[in-house]
Amino acid sequence: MTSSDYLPPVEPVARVIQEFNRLPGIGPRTAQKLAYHLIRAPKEESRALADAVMDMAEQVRFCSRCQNVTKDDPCAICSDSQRDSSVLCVVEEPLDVLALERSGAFRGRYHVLHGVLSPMDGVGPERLRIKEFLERLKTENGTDEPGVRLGESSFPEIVIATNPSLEGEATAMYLRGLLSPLGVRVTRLARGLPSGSDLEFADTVTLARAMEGRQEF
Amino acid sequence: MTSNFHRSPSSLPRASLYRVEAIVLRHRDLGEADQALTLFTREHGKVRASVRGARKIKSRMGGHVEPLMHTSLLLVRGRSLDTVTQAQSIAVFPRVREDLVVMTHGLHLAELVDRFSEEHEPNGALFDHLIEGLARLEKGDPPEFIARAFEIRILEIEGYRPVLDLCVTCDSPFDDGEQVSFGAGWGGTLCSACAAGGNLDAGEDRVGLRPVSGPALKGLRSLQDRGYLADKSPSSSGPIADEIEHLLRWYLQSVIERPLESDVFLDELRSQGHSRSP
Repeated sequence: MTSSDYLPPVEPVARVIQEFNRLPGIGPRTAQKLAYHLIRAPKEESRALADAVMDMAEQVRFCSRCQNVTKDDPCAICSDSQRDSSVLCVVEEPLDVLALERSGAFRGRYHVLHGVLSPMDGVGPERLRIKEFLERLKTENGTDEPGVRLGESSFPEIVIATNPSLEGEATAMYLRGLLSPLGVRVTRLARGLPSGSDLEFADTVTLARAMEGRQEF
Repeated sequence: MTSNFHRSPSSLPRASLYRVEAIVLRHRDLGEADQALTLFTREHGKVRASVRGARKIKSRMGGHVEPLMHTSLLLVRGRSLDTVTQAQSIAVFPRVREDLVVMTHGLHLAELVDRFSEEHEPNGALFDHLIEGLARLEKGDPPEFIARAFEIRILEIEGYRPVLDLCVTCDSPFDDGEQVSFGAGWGGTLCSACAAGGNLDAGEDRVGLRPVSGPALKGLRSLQDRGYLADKSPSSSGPIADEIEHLLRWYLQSVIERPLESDVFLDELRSQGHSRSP
């Protein structure tokens, strides 16, 4: 078979392949597989997928307070008066909120940055929801004076829960720099050994942090 | 059934399992929990590899393959990406990770090596140079000074050593107090007569020339001649340090033909008044 014998997919299929191919983590071959799966599947499956995607696009927005994805603004967590308003947990992605909520260990408020600083990729603070975060610190307690002044944060404690990766640490250090003049208590999630793991295989950074953070037993 | 028994050694496939000493230059997420790494290895130059499950909490390898870590790895050759099967960190440079400005300078060194190196082309001098740069950042030397000394040395290792002691077009030394210019496209300094156009060939324009002050030229020469042993203060902070940084950045960009992401990030930090943490 020569290259001139190559038969491209018919137009509607090619379009679907092209659209799947735009999604993160989906290469041309996976896009093709998904498209041909939908061709063979009952039409209802394609319609359900299309409806679900459209509903999500039309109904889901970002919470004006915490920037998490939500259907209602403010979101369920921000509008829950039972939650602890004295502590704010800053996370990278909406999925991190779900993970922390699953743990049941945190009952405060959240702020989602929608990304992480990456010096290697030139991703700076302007590309994250940091401006909204600072805005929130001054407005959530009802003040609307411009700029956040010393000791004026509405949250006495900010927990920085970015990932313990190089980018997560870079983001945490940047936020700490922003928050230090405000007089708030800035905390970072503890780093240590995961349950069920083996000390012998722990990396030196984790082991050092685990030793530093040892507690009375 | 075919057998490898009668094959001559030269016809046998390359060993699929190999060990390297590497510095992790960068990483990106791959699939659900994997990571793709760009490694700079002593034995094979730049290598791209994946680490399965590196982002999982219980990964045994994730903590050994973070960017800027010096690590020992066992790899299996793959079609597009090799796969890391064992990892043990040698040096993690913890102080480089504890300060945003120092970390950004460390990543700047890694990005320069990434841009200058080729896959599967060993370069022991460059490997040692990167290890030394990271070790000096770890020691607490001014990160701006380390970056400038690193830049001028990597240009030399890669064959782009700038000429700084005479005019690149007429070979004449400079007079005291003479206004010297630097030309990125020329690869070095030009005397005032050549910069004015007297000795330039037709077609060579003067747009690519920038005046360089005496103290900045002295600082550049010192970095070139003495490396990390040079006087740190001219290239650490202040207007001379800024001039040296901008000239080297300009020259590097003309060599690698695009800006460095770490420079963009550093500029954004500085525009917000972010300086080195205490």
